[in-house]
Amino acid sequence: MDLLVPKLSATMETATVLRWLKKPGERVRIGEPIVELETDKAALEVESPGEGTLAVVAAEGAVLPIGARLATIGGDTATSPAPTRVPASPLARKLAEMHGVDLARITGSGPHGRRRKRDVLGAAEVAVPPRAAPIPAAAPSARPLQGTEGGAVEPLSPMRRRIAEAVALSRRTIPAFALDRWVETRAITAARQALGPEIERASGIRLTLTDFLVQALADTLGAMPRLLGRFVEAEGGPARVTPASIDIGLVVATEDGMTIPKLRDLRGQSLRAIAALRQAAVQRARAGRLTAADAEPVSLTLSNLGAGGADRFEAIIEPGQSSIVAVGREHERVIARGGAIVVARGLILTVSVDHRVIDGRRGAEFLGLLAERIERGPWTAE
Amino acid sequence: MPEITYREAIVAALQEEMRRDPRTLIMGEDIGPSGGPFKTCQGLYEEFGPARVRDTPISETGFVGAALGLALTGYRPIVEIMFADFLGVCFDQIVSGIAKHRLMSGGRTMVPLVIRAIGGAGLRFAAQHSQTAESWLLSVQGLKIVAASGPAEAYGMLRAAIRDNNPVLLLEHKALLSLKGEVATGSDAVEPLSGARVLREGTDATIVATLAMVGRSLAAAELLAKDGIAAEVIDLRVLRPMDTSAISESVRRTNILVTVEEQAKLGGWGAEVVAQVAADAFDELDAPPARLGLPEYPLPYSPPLEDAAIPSPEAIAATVKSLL
Amino acid sequence: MNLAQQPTTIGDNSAASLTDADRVALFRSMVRIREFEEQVQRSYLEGLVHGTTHLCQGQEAVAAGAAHAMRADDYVTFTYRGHGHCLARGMDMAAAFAELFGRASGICRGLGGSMHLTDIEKGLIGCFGIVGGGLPVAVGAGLAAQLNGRGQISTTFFGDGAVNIGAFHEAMNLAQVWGLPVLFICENNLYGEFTRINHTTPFENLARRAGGYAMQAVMVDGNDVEAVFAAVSSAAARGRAGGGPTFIECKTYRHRGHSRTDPAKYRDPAEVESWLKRDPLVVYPAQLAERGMLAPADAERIVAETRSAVKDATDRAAAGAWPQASADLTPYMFV
Repeated sequence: MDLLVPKLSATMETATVLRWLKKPGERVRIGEPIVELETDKAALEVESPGEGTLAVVAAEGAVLPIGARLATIGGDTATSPAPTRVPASPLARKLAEMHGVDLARITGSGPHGRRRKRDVLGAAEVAVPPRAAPIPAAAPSARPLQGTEGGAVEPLSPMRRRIAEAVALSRRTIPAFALDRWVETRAITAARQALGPEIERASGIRLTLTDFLVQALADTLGAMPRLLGRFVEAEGGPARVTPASIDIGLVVATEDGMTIPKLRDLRGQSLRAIAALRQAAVQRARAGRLTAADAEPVSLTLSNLGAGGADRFEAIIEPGQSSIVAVGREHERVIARGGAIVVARGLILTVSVDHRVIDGRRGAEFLGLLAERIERGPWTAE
Repeated sequence: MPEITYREAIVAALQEEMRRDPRTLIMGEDIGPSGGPFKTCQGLYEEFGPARVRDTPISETGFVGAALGLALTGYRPIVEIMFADFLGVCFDQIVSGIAKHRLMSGGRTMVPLVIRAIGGAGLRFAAQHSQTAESWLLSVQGLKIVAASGPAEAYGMLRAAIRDNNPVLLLEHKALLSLKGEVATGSDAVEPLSGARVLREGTDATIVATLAMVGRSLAAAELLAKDGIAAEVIDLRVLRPMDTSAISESVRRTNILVTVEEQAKLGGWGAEVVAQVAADAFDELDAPPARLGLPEYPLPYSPPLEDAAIPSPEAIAATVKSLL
Repeated sequence: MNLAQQPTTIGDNSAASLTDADRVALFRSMVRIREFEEQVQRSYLEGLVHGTTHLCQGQEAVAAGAAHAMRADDYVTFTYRGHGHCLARGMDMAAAFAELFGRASGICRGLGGSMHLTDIEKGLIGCFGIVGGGLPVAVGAGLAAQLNGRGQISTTFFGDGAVNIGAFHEAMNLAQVWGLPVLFICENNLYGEFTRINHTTPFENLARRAGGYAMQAVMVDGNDVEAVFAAVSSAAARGRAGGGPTFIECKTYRHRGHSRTDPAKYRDPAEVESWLKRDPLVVYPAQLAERGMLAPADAERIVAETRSAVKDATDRAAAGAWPQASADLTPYMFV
């Protein structure tokens, strides 16, 4: 059978073959990622449509239109032997898929090289309950402040080019305005202490602030589905598209810049489930292995710069979306509560929205509900 | 709460139910004035008289079949089988008669009877007097089978079995008769016969056992705890109908499963537990489930040989460790 | 103990207490059994009855005579050759046919079949397919009767083949030791399945077995319905009064093979001939006619009416719905 260049987004016209993940003549399984393509939006892995021997047609670097043939997957040939299935316990297989770990690339500590839970979690750098090291927080960049001498010119990498195009497009075409609010985080801190250990024990995943924010966002969007509407130019003219499911993009910083994997189907999800989704998304993003599902549009993205130095910032709405929630660093400040001066801990949320589909009143209502949800809970752990 | 022995718990359960319901009666060999060869009917003859506490001739087919006749005609008979091995004698009355009667009659009859069979190894009674018989009748549809691992279980399950309107085979263990435990006697409320029970919580492995193997599994858990391994111990309790949902739930947390039975593994309940848990919680298993049981030859008499044949706490702990 | 092949009774001759109406009822009962069994045979050939079935043509006098001597609250157990006993106790024919046909309207909802007809409201507490399996159960029912103190008895019917199995020994012993009101009624038709009694049992007068238990025993001509009635009445009276169990051997013969698929070629044709001459459905109406108690025309009318009722019952049964294959039967297993 043929592997053709798929249409991965509404605006896509061509794709560049970045890298073949399997060699010609190698045996591939159905659903196995075999090639990396780059489109105007992102770099994506494409999976094999069938089982058989791979015959490569398009070379790395080739720029192809949609529908062009990339490769053929041949029927059984006597020449290539069937690859040995990697021995792994059912649990290890499940965890490997969750954390994006390739079983073939890790060693197994079980009998006959069987991969076990600890092998997979070790490779995923996840806490093995209960006596393991916590996930290291993202270390701030240690680049010393110094100017560049001589003014070297370096062309932007594909990713940097992509980001540059996206933010410029956004500023050019999306009339955005921002609303901000300071929210107290003590409810989250308390909930994290109460619910975190059990979840970590059961799943090996440590809860982060992001998980709580995602649940709060999902609940607020559930209460105000209008915020999920986004602006499109349809055949009949300007229109608003409102998806039924609640999906959120999550900005993940990578070495070269950033990428935005998607957290899907968040309605009613527990903290435990959200943490698993978040962790898997971060893994995918850092490994450069976004899937076709990550390329599907969402309406809202969350950008958490809490680890950095800014109290607040205004994020840029992703083209094709209608809002973005920016999270500043957690800090203490003096506030007034019930007429008294107190020191409280919290952070500033800045929500930027597309005024073509979300106006001031709705934006402010949304931010108010979101703040209340964050400050009051309740949090659903399981 | 008072501490009584397993034996006393059985007597208490029989007394309370026989006082409560005049349609109950008990039959068995030497259970009358002698109180039973294992003293599990002590005092019943004096309290309830010869009509309701009957010594039988040595004829298991006869009096187990008679129990069916009594159950069909409005009575609630209890039969004591002196050694569970003797279930072989009255096998036909149980499998062809008792277990099938209600269904064959189109649900128009009711068979509220209890067979209490005292079995188990460890007391040097040799091959013909040491079966637990847990697996002998395991595949007989129409029969309920329960196994009491301690005094509270013996008390609670016997009372529930007597109140159950279906035929119940209650397996007791002769090596546990002097085991002491807290039992809340005297209340009128009785829990119906239901599934497995977690006796000790843990996160690293699930051990499932019945009868005397429960105590050994708890001892194994103590040994494992010294090495920092937290084993969860579950008493299976009800063999038929078998409900392994609590076990699957446990394995979802521990990812390791070991079963321990005092009978041959081939044809034993351990395989059924493994099959059900593998179906329910396949993706949570981090190692193949392991079963412990007796060797594939009849039980030898000589003490060192008998002791070696029965899974010890050390063997159970070693099996758990080998899976981790 | 009288070992001669003559009917004997214990106590008074209760046959004298039969009225003309009783006699007609006995005849009618036997006709009902005969016509039912003949129809079962035809239905089997038509594919309506499944598996196998065990017919009792020739042995009707035992069922009819014994049933007439019992009370409605007595308990009865019997074997897979039990259609006659069920009908004699008043089981509904259509429900019985429907059970044999495997329909949901059967007396056991189609779950038991020919060998397991049960009707607890009529005291038919169970029909046991394992030879001798019902005897210990009958002992239990006898114990219940004793405990109830209302004068009930427990009757169990079995064949000559059952006297050699362990359950027979244990049940007889228990009944005698506990002095229970149990009637052990042995229908000795000389054949245990395909094997004649002289090859399996040390003697042919099975009442002798009872001696081993010091139990009262009687031998009767099982084809003489009034003799059967008398013997069972006396034994029942004794049991009701606390006199203990009785073994009643009924000498009889089955016209057909052991089961539906057996052509019974193992029997000596002369033996078969001589027993057919003693067919109760021929002998008894002739006797009643001779004594002026039932005119031949009336006898024929009874047969015709019964045949019509049997046909009607068969038709209703054959129209009955099948049980649902997908149904969960657990509620019929556990209460």
